[in-house]
Amino acid sequence: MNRNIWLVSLIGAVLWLVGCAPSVVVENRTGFAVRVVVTSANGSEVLSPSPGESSVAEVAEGSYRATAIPDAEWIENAKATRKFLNDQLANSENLTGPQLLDVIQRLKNIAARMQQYESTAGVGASCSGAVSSDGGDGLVVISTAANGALVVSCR
Amino acid sequence: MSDSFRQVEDEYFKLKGKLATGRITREQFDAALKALMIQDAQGRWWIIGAEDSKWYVSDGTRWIQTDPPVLAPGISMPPPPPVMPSPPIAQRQIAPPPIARQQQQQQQQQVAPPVTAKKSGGGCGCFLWGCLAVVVLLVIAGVAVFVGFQNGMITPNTVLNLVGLGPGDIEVDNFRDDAIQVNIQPIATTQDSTPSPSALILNAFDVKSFRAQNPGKYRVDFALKKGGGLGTCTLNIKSGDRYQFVALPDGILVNRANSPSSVGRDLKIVTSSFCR
Repeated sequence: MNRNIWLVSLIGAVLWLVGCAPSVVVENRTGFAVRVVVTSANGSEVLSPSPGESSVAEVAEGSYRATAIPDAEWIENAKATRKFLNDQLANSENLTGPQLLDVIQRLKNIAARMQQYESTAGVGASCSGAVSSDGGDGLVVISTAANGALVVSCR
Repeated sequence: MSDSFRQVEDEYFKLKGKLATGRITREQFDAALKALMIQDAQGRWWIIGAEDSKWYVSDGTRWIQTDPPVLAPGISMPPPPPVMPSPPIAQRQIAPPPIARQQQQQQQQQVAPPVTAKKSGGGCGCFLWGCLAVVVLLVIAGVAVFVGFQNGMITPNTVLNLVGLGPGDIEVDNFRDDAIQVNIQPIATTQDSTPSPSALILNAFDVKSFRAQNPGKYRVDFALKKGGGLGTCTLNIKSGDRYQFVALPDGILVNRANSPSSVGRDLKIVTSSFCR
């Protein structure tokens, strides 16, 4: 009986610990639109806070990484994917096996694209930080350097 | 003497004759003699000496030369037993017949293995090596788990997924030109606690995720931020599931990334079996 109580308590404690997901606030201090990929153990999110505003990403406890990516390039790629998926969705009842596999591959490519931007980010275009469930939210500030380049800093 | 003993003696002398005339070999003679062992009503084993043609009886530890009982009801002739008494040579009162001596050697071989193993320590050694191997494997596994936790490759959710209590994930890709709002409402989850609903705001071409800590049923509503519904999906999220929604101009696409469907109509939330 006691053993069961301990087991239930342990599972409850683990669920409670992993249940309190911390978040990261991404603040855009530039005068133009930016796009940021935030990656943690939970996966990746793409945010686009308007100039002077902020967006929030829920992340897993532990380390995270924020990377500024070229906004126009991301949108251009997303639009190409959108056209393909939209066409396939209109014909979804008649898709063949290879066509269906192609759709699934294009869906996977969205995450792969985010990872690609992260791995090729230039100096200053990304930063890393860490958050804990009881240590408050993480803060990522996007600003511009004197030469006009984007600067990403984790605080 | 009973008929059984007489039958054995008759058989014995026939074999003797065949051996003497060269119709059978010595090995064939010995083998046939072994088969002539008989057991009396008290369970004692009897055999005829190969050389002296006298009867020997076993008392459990040694062979003693004696005459068979005059009347021994219930005597049978079963096949030779797998295990026979093994008289110590030092305590032998009478040298056993050669054929019995051969059987004693076999018996000693049958009984010998545990004693031999004990003397050499081989079995104990194997046991120790086995224990050592298990300890080494446990240490390696422990180090691997520690490194996995340090690197983030193993998380508490990984462990929970193994027992079916892990979370499921929902990713929403907004590939529309306008902002959308996604409301995720738990309907029935496996845990007693009631998780609060979550709302995701996605600008055009944003990607956001929601982690369903407790597996169960969730209602996912898609709407334009400025107003107007786009669709609804009721998901049955299991531990480790990863659902991906893509908001498109002509509808909402759904896919279960960890186990995609093989049917095209499952891509549309209005017709998908994922959304029932």
